[in-house]
Amino acid sequence: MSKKVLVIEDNEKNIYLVTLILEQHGYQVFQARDGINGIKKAETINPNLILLDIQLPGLNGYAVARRIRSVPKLEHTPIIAVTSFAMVGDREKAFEAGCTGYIEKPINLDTFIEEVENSFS
Amino acid sequence: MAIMSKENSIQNWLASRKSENLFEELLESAPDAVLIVDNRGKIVLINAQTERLFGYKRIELIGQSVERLLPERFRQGHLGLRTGYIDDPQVRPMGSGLNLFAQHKNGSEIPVEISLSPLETEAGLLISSTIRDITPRVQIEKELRAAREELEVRVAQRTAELDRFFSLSLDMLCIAGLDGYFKRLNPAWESTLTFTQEELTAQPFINFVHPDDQEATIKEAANLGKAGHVTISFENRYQIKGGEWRWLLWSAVGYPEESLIYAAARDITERKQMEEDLKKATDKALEADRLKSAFLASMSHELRTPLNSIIGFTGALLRGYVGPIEPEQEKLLKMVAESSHHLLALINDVLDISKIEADQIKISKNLFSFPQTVEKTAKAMREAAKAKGLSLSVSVAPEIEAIHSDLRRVEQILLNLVNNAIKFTDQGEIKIIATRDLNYIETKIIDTGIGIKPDDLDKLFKPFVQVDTGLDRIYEGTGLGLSICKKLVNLLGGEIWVESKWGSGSTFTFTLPIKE
Repeated sequence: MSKKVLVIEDNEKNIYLVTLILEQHGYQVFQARDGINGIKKAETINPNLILLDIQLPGLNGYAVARRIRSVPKLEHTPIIAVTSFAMVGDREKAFEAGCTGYIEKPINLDTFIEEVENSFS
Repeated sequence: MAIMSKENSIQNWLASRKSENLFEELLESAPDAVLIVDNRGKIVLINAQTERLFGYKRIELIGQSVERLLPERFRQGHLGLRTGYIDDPQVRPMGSGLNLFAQHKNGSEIPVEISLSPLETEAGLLISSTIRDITPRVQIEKELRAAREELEVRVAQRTAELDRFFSLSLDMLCIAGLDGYFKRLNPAWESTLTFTQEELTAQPFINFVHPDDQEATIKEAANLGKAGHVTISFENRYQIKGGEWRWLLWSAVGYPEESLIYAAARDITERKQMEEDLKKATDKALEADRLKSAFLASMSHELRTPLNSIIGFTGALLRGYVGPIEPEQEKLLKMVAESSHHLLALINDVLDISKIEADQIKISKNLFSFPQTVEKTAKAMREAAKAKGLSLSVSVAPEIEAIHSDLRRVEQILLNLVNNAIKFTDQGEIKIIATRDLNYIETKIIDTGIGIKPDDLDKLFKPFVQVDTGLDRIYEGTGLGLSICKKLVNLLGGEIWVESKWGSGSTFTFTLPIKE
């Protein structure tokens, strides 16, 4: 059975792109447009991986990561932060909030899939 | 006692005295010249001091008129005085304050003091006259008077000098009483505050002080009423006529025993204003800098979002995620991909330089293979070199192995320099040569391109500068690459420099420490 990836992202084009790539590589993709929905969906579907945009409307990515981490069954779910912040300290903040990976936008198709696959090991 | 002829009776009296020897001894023991004169002014007796004072022998004076011992000009007057005295003889002590003069045998005048006392004798009235030479005292008085006069002249000069300075000073000088009133003000007060001296001295000075500064001013003035207190750098505001305020800077010292304060104030309103303007300007610049950083961060983010779609979807199409593509379509899509990657590189450069300028760049050092890194760069750039017909060769000294540095940054430096070399070279070759000494690896990127004019060499590493090539041609780029390289090399502990000959190529050299 294919692995489940939850994409929490508010930008339609980004969701479309990430979904396209992930499905191309055989993943089952779930989508959420904001943090609150993301957390709810994560609890419901219990994904193998969460791709989390940091600049989300309302609850930001860091807060979402922290909340997901506080859910017992999601405690060890890999979370990759996907962000175009690229400023000093962004990476550290993401890891501090509980993310296990960090991808800078614009995403590079080759390294993106590598990073996704690495997150399961 | 029987009445005898006058002469005889005096001599008899004297003789009787002489027999006792007492009178003469008394005379001789007196410190001053003593002479005894009869009621007709004839000298009847003198002591040795008289001989010494006047330079006459005793024999020369006895029986002579006393006027002989006076300077010529006083003689006539003395006759009258003498007669008057004989009529009403009284003891006249010394120190009468009269300026009296005697005359020496040699004609010189001697300042003297004279006391007179009548002697009622059996032989009639005699006058004992004691004469003291006051030449030394007169001399001292003269000197004292001269000294005092000189002193007075000097004091007057000093006072005049001080007055001139007092009037001339641009600073506001004042003497104020501990009673809270100005006692003396120099003209600078009037010119600065535009109140007249009369207005300023008519009411307590505190009335001219800004309400917000009054408490501090009263406290400071009270401190000056204590011994040993000196005011420096005290500032307050004084009103000028019309209601505006001037900032004054004070230095002052108090003389509590005189209940006075001496103070100097300087109008520093303009300076204050400049300081304030400067602070505002600095704050504004800092704010602008902060806004710039925030703007760059946000712009970088905003630009990356659409780029994410462009690069991502182009990549997806090129990879055939949504179906096969024709060769011509592939060619165009590759151009889109190339341009979007170029755009991304520019955005990254701008972001990098803003991070560097804000000292926000982080270096993370690890051990990695330097030869592999150089080879990887060469491999990535070989295509571009080949496209321009240039050869790209690599020569890394065999003793170079691992380096402890920041891999990503070293790659960035190499890529930047090799990319530049290719960009500015139209024919010939690009060589990467790495050598090492004990602690450093030295890498040279040598090209056979257009080179750099000597004047432009030091501009090269400054941000946003792309030197004028002198050719009718503009090279793509932000002008940030070398400036970033320099910052990165320095952050990694190395140096970077360039040697170039205009028209025949450039050599960029950078060093990196091998160990931590």
